[in-house]
Order: sequence, then C-alpha cells, then structure tokens
Amino acid sequence: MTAPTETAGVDLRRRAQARRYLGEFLPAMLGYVLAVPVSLLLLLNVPMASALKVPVALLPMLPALLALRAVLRHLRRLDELERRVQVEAIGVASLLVGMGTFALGFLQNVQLLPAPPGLMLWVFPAMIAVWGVAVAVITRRYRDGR
Amino acid sequence: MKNHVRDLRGEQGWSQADLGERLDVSRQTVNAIETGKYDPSLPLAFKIARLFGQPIETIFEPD
Repeated sequence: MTAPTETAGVDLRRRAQARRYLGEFLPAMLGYVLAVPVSLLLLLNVPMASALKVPVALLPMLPALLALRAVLRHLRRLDELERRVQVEAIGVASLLVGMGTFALGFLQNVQLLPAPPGLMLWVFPAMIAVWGVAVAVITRRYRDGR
Repeated sequence: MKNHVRDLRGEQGWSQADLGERLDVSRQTVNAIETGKYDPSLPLAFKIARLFGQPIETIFEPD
C-alpha cells in the first residue's frame, strides 16, 4: 500500500512546509505592520533625546529580522532543487534591482531624477517582487508541462 | 544525465509523490529528475540507489 502523500493533488510535504513557514512568517509580518505606525507615532508625538530617535525609528526592524529568520529557516527546510531555484532567484533579484538602483543613482547624481525621502525603503520590496517573478520563471525550466 | 528512475518507480507501483516522500524531496523534484531536467546531488543519488537496491551506475548514465 502506498503512503498517502497527496490530497487532491497537493503534496502534503509542501503543505506542511508552508504551514510551518507561515506560522513563523505571518506573526513577524504582523509585528512589522504594527511597529511601523507605533514608531512613527512615537517619533512625531513624543519628545525624546536625539540618541533615542534612531532605535525608535528602527523599531520595525525587530519584527523584520524575525521575518527574515522565518524565510531562512524555510529555505533550509526545502529540498535541494527547491533551494537551488530560490537561491538562483534571489541572486537574479539582487543583480537586477542592484543595477536598477545603480542607474537611478546616476540620474539622481545629476539631478535628472528627484530623491524624495524614503525612496530607499522601496529597494527591498522591489527585490522581493523580482524574486517572486524570478522563482516562477526559473521553476518553469525544471517542469515538463505536466 | 540519463536515468531509469521512472522505470524503477513504476516497478514499485509508486507515484512521484510516493517516491518524493521516501526520498524527502518534493514531487516536482522527482519529476525534474525523471525528465532529466535536474541531476540530483551525490547524496540524493546514493539515496535513490539504496532505495531501489541497485548500484548507482545502473540507475544514472552519462548522456
């Protein structure tokens, strides 16, 4: 008798991995979503010494680091091909977004592009977005059109 | 590399997911190995050979 590893076409192993990952990632992201407005409210409304402003401004980084930990733990749980796809996609995303910000830097340097405050906050989300697209593209290389 | 993983799996009556469960890899990885789109690492290749009870050279052949 074969082991019941599939339910309605879904790999149970994958489902268990996703459950563990989301169990760690989602609470961290919730913490991040709460920490951003708390940090801003404190900075805008509570008088504080200059030295304190930096850790308060960086408050969202604590849950962000927990989210990063969840991602790294998930990567280590993947099998060798899944991990190869993810790491290759991260590499592609890093290079593409890095080159993109490099180009933007040239334009900003000669003031052909504005440099609004908080622009750098979009670099990491851009990397995540390109990472997602790269995973989809790279995964297709290993499929046979099933 | 060419391999006979699909044939050996078929002899056991296992699905790709069943084989993946036994090797602790995803069904998609088993599929990629069988279709020759991915060559497994040495530890995984030895795991496959041990599972099917055959020498590694009879399962995997260079192109």
